[in-house]
Amino acid sequence: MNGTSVKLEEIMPALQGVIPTIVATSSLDHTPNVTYISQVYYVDESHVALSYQFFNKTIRNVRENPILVAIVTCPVHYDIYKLVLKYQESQTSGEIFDNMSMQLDALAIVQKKEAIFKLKAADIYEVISIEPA
Amino acid sequence: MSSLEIEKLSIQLAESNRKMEILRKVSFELNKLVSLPEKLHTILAILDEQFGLANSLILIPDHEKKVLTVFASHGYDAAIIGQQVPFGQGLVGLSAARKKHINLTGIRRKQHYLATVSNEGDLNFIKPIGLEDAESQVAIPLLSNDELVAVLMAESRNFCVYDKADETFLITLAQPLAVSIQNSMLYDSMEEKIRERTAALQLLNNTKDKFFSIISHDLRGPVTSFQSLTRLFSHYNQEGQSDKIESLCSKVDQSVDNLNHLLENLLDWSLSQTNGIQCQVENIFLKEFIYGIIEIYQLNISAKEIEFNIEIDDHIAIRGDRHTLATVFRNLVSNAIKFTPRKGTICISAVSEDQKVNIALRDSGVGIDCQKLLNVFQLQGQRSTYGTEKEKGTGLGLVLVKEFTELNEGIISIESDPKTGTLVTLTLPEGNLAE
Repeated sequence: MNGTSVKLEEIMPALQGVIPTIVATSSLDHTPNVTYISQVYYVDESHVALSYQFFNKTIRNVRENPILVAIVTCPVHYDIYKLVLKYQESQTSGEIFDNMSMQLDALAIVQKKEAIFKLKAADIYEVISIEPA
Repeated sequence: MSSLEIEKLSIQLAESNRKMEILRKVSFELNKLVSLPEKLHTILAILDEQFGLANSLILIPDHEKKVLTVFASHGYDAAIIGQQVPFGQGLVGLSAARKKHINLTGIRRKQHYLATVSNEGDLNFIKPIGLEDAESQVAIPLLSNDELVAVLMAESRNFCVYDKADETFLITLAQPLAVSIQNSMLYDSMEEKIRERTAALQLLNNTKDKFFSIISHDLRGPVTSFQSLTRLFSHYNQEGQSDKIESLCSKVDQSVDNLNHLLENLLDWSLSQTNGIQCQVENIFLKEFIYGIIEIYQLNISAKEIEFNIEIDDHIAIRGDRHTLATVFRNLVSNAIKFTPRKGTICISAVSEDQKVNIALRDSGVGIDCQKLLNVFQLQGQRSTYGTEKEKGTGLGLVLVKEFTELNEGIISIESDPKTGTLVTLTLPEGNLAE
């Protein structure tokens, strides 16, 4: 990770999905897109994952232009952090995928919607920087 | 080292100490000699005290690994104990099915989001076990040798945030918990097996006691009477009283018959206790069979001037093992003769109906005391009753009758009244004369 004053482990509460995350991406022609997502998942000290369930604008953009900015909020102190991420790969199996899939299933099964919200892939991002916003 | 770094290290040290203390407390509880539910309840209380897990459950899977049942709880009503969750349903069911831990926070918001995105408007939840409005849940499968022993579930209405270290620590706690639960269950099942084996051994012991009691008391009598008879034979022979020797012969006959009957019953009974009876099923014409039995007791019947009637059609046949059924009827006829006074009546009748033969043996005897009637087929406390002319038995007769009737797929019942006598009813399978 370059240019970061904050470590990923220090903002773990913000990666629990308590307060939705704002993500911003842009296409190759620089058209921006901002949306909310439920959660950014912790992978390791320099990687996070986002869930790929539906092929939406965000997914389309990062496939063209891998940079994504996420604004996360800590539910304990309400501190806000800006994460600059770079898309690396999509995983459709393995521990990260299984854990994310289980979390989604646990939510969706209660409403009998597991087929609708099936995880297609776990998109892995390298953390370029973390700064208090 | 800066003061900030020192402070950070101090916090880490305090945290490590706290976790060591938790491990110590949990290990202490797990080693206590108390019941498993009590043990688990105390551990859940420790987790509340140390982690703020105000609502927690331990669920145990069934043998088929299809359903989880709440075994211990903390922070809920007692009614939650025994509630069930299928494998795969909800956080707990999913954790059990996949043997992986799950940690969810902001549950209700996420579920509302799912409902909105799927355009289905209202939430349509399967009612969860535990809190209906939980915001945070963690489920940890307790595994021993990769086998699911139980699931620890904790939840809260608040947004509880656990860092990786907390999660790892809870997973570490899961190991000794799993082993303790497994050991307790093994211990309980072994205790149950020991109870069953003890009961079976007690029964065998009672059987052995009865056996020795019979040998020591009930057979001694006839053998002693033989001794007396031989002495009398010798005395009368020396005195030249051959007419008295003649009368002694009938007494010897009687004693031999009794002894034979006792020995046969004893042998049959000991064989039945050791499962040594080999049944050979055949069709038996009932009338002819009964006459064969009665012939054995003809002398006794004549001696007591008993009127013996047989009301059985020639064509009626039963199906069963000849030897064991002979034991049944010998004992029933012997009892009827024993307890019918001089010049009384005994009647055996039979009717076939619905592929069964109902046999009634009625005597005009002294009947069976109603208290005794309740336990007439039990071995425990069985005492032989002397007949109307002091005939002796072992108390085994009716025990054998019931056992052998049931061995031949039959049913027996007894009604008795001191004023009118006894009626024994047997229902046996009808013989198949087409064979």
